[in-house]
Amino acid sequence: MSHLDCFKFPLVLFVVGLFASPLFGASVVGSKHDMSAAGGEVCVHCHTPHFANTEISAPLWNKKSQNFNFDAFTMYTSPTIDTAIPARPSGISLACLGCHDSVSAPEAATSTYTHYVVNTPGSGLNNSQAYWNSLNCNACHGGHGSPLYKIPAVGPDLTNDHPISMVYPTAAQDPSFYQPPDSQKGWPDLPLFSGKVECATCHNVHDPSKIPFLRMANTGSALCYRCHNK
Amino acid sequence: MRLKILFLTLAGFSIFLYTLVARGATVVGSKHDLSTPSTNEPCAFCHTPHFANISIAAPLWNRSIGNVTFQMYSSTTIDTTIPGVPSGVSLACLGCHDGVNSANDKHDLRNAPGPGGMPDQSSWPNCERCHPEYYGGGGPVNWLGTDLKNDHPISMSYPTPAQDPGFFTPPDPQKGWSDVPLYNGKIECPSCHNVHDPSHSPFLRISNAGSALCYKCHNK
Repeated sequence: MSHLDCFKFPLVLFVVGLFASPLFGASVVGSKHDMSAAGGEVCVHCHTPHFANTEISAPLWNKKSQNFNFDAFTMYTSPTIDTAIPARPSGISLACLGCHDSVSAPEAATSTYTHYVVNTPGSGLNNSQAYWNSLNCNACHGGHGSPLYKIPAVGPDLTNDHPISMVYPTAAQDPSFYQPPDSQKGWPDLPLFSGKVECATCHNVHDPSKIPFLRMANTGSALCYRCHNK
Repeated sequence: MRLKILFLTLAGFSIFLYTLVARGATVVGSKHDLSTPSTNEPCAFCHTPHFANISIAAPLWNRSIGNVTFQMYSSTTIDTTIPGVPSGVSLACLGCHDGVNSANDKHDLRNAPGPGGMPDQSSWPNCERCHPEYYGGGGPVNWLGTDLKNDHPISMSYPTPAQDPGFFTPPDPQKGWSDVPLYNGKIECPSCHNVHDPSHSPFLRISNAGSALCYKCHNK
């Protein structure tokens, strides 16, 4: 071992430790967004490496949009808002709303949408009983004697929810918003998506460490104050 | 790698600067900041990102409003019509400032901070924020009561020049002035008050030196 290597090894250990530390948060594994049965594949319930659905702009999305009515949602309105809210959710928010669309019955996404994927794990399963066996029903359902759905559902009426899919206001449009360092990508820890606010601006679906899947702790309403200057 | 560290440091520093400089006066630390160390989200006492009360025309309102009857201002010389009930965002203000002790419209939040819970009682321990007189913290909160006859009228449409030449005409008949807003063309509590900014006490939109706030509308 050379003199230099003596320094390298602890440095590598330190860097590895840093990545494993809570600084980088937890992963989706074991979180409420982990829909896999014991030992099953975790990522597949949302993502696939091949044949993904490109209509929903979440990375390599593994759900079929033909079983999802994108126009089922009623959007937020406000007489004082200075940016335009589109008629329907866009982009990555549609991925979230595919499951979080309704509380008592499927309103936007059908049962076929939520229970099947485009491309099943491994090969040849083709949405068979084997895929269903890889699902953990209790991840979304309450079980016998409990409410049918136990996931918080915000839709299809989005009028009582923070607006989504609207372009972040410019300083000229509304001076009571802080301007992000990148008008398209937002802040390093609080992203905009093509310049728009989406569900995933505030929520990190893969990291349960700040309940409920928040991008950052909301102590002192810090998450709100990243955008709002009030 | 060095560039990345430099970028992250710069990004962190600019965020720090934003919090220091650009924020100015906010609701944080003001009389409208009802948070405490145990319930530490100032926004949550009025607003919620989900499951808001949309019957109140205040953004994402996190409180229920009781069915209170108000007595409205009247005047023999007024040239615009005052409606029978307060409307719009004024109801959000009156939800607290009517002074009517109705537990579920004063104290409960619709949606608790964090993972939520409805209705939520997490604001209950913060009594001294609204009841300072019981905690040695000065006078009571400014309750207007349900009798609004002795208060500046609200919820009426701003008069046109034809209706009343004693008023200045705003640049936008619906939104008013940039610093003194109308709400759908109506005067509401927040036409004069900015609930989020304590810098012009008592939460005024602009300084009233020389009665400048009054003279924004009144040509007297």
